[in-house]
Amino acid sequence: MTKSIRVKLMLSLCAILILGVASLAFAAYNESPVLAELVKEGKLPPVEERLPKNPLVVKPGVLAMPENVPDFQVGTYGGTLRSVHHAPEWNPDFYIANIEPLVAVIGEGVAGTGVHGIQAGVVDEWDVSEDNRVFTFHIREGLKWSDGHPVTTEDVLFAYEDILLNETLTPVFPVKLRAGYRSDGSPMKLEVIDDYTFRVSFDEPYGGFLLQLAINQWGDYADFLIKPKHYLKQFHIKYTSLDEMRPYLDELELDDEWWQLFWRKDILSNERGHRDAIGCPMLTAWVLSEASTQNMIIMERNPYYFKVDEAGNQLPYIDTISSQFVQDIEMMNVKVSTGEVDFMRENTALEKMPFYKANEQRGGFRAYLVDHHLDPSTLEFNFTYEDPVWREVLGDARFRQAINMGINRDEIISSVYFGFGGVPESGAPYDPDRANALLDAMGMDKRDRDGYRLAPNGEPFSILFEVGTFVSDLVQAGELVVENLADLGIKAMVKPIEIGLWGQRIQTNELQATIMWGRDLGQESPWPWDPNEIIPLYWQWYVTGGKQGEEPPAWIKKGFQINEKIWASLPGSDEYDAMKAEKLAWEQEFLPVISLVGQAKHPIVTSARLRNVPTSGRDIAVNYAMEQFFFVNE
Amino acid sequence: MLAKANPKGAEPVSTADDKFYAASERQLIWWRFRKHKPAVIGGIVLILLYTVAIFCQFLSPYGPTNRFPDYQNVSPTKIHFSEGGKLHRPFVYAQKRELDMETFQYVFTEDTSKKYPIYFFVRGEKYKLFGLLETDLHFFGTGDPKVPVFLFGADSLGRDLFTRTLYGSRISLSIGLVGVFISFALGLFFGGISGYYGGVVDEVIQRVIDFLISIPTYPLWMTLSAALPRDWPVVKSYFAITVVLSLLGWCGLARVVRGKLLALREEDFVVAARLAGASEFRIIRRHLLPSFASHIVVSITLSIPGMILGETALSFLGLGMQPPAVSWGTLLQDAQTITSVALYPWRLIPCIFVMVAVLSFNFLGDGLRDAADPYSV
Amino acid sequence: MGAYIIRRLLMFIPMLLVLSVVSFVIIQLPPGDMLTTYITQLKRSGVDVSEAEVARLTQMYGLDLPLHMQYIKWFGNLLRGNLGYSFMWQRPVTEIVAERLPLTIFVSLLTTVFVWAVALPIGIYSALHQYSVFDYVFTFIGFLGLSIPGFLLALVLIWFFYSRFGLNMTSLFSPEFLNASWSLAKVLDMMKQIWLPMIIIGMSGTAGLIRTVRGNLLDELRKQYVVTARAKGLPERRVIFKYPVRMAINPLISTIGWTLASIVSGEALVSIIFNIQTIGPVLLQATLSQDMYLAGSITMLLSALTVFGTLVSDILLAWVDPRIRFGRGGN
Repeated sequence: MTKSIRVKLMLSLCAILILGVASLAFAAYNESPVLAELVKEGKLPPVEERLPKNPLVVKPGVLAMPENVPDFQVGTYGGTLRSVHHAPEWNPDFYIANIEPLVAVIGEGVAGTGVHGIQAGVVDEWDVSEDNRVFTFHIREGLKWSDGHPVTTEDVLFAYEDILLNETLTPVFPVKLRAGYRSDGSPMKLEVIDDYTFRVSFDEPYGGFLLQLAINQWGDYADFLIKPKHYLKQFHIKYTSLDEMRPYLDELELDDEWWQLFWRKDILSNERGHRDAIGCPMLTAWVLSEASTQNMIIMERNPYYFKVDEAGNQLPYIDTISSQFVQDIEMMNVKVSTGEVDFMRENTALEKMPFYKANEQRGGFRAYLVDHHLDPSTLEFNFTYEDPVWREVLGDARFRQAINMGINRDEIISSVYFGFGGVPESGAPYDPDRANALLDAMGMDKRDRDGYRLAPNGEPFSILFEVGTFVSDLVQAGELVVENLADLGIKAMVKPIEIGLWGQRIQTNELQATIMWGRDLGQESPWPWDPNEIIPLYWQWYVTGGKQGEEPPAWIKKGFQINEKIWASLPGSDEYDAMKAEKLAWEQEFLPVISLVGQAKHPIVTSARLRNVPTSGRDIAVNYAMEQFFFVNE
Repeated sequence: MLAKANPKGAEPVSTADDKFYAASERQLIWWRFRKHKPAVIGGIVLILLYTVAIFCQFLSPYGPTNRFPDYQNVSPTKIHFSEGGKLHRPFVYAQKRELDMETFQYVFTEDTSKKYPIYFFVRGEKYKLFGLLETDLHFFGTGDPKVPVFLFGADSLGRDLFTRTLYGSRISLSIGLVGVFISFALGLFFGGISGYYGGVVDEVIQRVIDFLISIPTYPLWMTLSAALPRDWPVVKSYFAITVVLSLLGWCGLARVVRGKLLALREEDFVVAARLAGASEFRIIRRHLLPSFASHIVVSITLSIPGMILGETALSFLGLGMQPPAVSWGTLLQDAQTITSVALYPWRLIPCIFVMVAVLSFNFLGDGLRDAADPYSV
Repeated sequence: MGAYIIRRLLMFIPMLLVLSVVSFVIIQLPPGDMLTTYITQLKRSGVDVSEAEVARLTQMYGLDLPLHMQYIKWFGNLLRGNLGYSFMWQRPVTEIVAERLPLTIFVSLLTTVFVWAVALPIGIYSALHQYSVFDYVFTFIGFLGLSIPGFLLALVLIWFFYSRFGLNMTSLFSPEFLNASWSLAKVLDMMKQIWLPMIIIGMSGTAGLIRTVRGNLLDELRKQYVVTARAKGLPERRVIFKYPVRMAINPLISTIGWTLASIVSGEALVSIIFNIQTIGPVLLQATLSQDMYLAGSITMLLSALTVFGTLVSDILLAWVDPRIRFGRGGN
């Protein structure tokens, strides 16, 4: 650390005295014995110098809601948390555990029931202008990258000017950083106030910008606005010549494509387990170790991590998290049973619960159910599928209501979801008689020789659900839905297809109907489903401002409007809550998708020796709390 | 050594000799085949399996998609034969289930208040025998749609595994036949012209075979089956997969045929026929074909099991048959999860059928080969 | 003989060209492309790939080029030893293959040795004692090996060993060696675990080989020269091992060339379950996710290896067996 920076640090400390006082509450900080050893050897500065002036203090209600961790306690250091992954150098549980958003959501990042507000993260202070257009952020003073280099607005300016505004590096300006979260919205503007303060402004209200930073699609600082300039500039043509970059280029078998080199070295939040991330400075709790191989992801604690517990212990408690590569999800679950996994959330499955339970004792782990953050299965119909008969039938709200009533959710829940689940918010009680009446009323009362209903114009009608082979419960639920629909006289078929093909069929508007997980309660995404899956042409019309695609019917336009208002408003505000209520009412009335199950459950597997793990609340929130986990010896 | 293989066996020498020398080739093969006990057993088992496959609708108590929502993952139904020490007509009890919140498993308890005897020729689910005859007669069952009898247990949606295994045999045992027939035609054709004409034609075909064999199996399977239009109904895709499998299966047979032909071409009787002015067609049809027909039969019996196993492997990859279609492959797909192996082992029963079918085909083929080999006389 | 070898070697070149086209087409033929697959798979974990990222990836992998240009680019790099970049792994194909090649070759060799060591003696015994009790027993075991789907057996056995004996067969190495570099201790550690996958991978091969050896040897034993040798009063052992066994094994030489490729195809499913980090599972995954450079390059490598192997076998065969040599030479 240079002298001038330290002087600046001191000066700004005076400026925000209150925060300074808060941090002074801890006369001394504690650190992991592993790091203390390094400090003793002189390889690391003392912990007081490594922490920012006001570290984030973790206590009940910060990483997890108090009611979800009833026996929260100050932990002890040490241990390795073992996990498994099945996609090369990608462990989704570690990914979420290492998310460090600029601001965090009280709700999902912290577990709970929806987004109520925003709390501090990498930035300790922020301010939103009255009209939700201008956002001022203040980075924690003295915050350091995992290599000890200070984090300042230099890094923000670098991310904005040299990456986002560089057309080679960013051919398309990200929609999240455009006003209103629309691809025709104008890009954000950045203004640097001082070493720690910067301002982001839009020309339209965009209160949801905070949500983007906090949680939407699980991104964090690295995806948006703070990049380690001192590291990345070695790979940027503006700061480094091609000749100097040559050794790196050669290593990647590249000629002069410096931008490809840059992309590899610029580690996004979802790339932290990949060996390209070795050496890249981070703000996360754990940082990829050089010891990682294709068989193992090994992440060591970040000595400069900015969170402490109430007793002044620098987090995380656990020194190392490591993950072994296995080649199949099924084998991940076998590894759970043999006690080789200390934590797993993403790749557990409800149907495996009896299996986990039967092996808990022997494997030394606990398995329990928490709330799923998704609606696990949702019927999606493509409203812009190119078939007039299809459009006529699907466009009639009575048809969707009939299906909603004609699905026997109890059987689906008991067969596929072990009895854990309920009728979703937009669901309806099982009532085949009313469903049949609705279908008759809309003109589908004529039937073919096999007893299947014909479309109102007398032509045959059928539904083909093409389901991506993501998880087995989608197809299983689909098989039951098909039988339910047959009882109503609607001819339907379910067909599992490969996910690559599934994705392509969506792109080309060839997918008629599908079953997919629905609303992500945590993310508050623009639509609780992917618009490309259900209204591709209408969506195109919307995002191109009417130049391409097709003009949607009034009810869809109304949905667009509600959505815009949600993104314009500030999360947690009255306006925001009112718009969300309106959106729910809209969904219930028009049924853009038909959710099969709500309030579903998802298993968590943790080592029996692990403490401070949330035992209730939402599943993905458990990952968010990983830096407060610790091992006890039994 | 040679005496051991003598088909004359225990027959009295003098009369048997006459009979033996007067016997047609077909009879000779049959006599030799009969001696190969495992092959005979294999053959009988196969006849049984195919009979079951043909009459699966009648033999199984339910339909393949019949669900019993209160019987998900139930183990094979216990069939009682006695009550209080006294012999009784076989009967079952209704079962009640409860979710054990400790183990997260459904616990089934028999409700012994009422017995449900198992009857033969009961009325049940309607079906069309051979697609024509509509009937609801089933070989056995309780006759009560509320109280099922599951010989092999039930799957996770409460469907009878016994029924599904029988239905599955229809697809799995026929995919082999259709596929082998296509490979057989291709192999015979290419092997035939390659072996008979030799020269450039032979060279080209051999290189093509080298080439086809050299392509790693899985990518080729995947590509071909993924390239099928996915909006085809299940039955159509099934035929297409059959074709896919057989398009790769012909190389081996072509090699055999070519080898045989190359050898036979120079045999005295062929040369004699040629010198006598027989036409090419006549030589092939009258002299060459009969000489290696037996080998082809053998090759076919030996390649059917490969097709059956291939189908299960494709299903493992999620590329072959897919639910809701019912085949042994899709049933094994259900069985290959660790949960099935550890907690619901009865889901592995279809695997036993696969093994029995493959074993039987192999033994049958083995026996046929020994029987058809003229040198073994 | 020389002319024959040269002709075959020359044939090798156009063959490679065709193979490269076919490998490329195989990867491209299924609908969908790696980018779509990649995006859809990420989506599964809740990660949404932004349009900026899509544009970036498209350019990086040259997906905006027409198909034939993509092929030329790929093949051109291939000739320079650059196998391209893997989408799923985000690293050079050369590196992925190199990391897994030693274990792949080792497993293949081990399996081949196992197969031959078991199948040869049994095949010879079965032929010499045709229709004896042991012949039937071995035949039965052999066919059983052919009839069980390997992946299912692997899963069942893993579970059996763990639940009955507490033996953990789910990885090739003990935890302390998992991330260690190769050493004698690591190899020894691996030997404790590798026998089970080796048996399962080799199972069907063994069964097939037993049948082939038995059949070939039976054919040989009926030939005139064997009868003559016996009539001359040669000791039985010498009668059998001097020529017939050698002749029976001869045709097997022609299969050596395919061994590596066929084992890589065959072991993939079993390796997935035993968590053996060989090329087979990578190829499988790559093909499923349409990771075109990875799948294409491995496919190309394997098929080239097989074609080359066939060539070597043919030459070897011609050299070993004078009948073939003279027969070919005569043509």
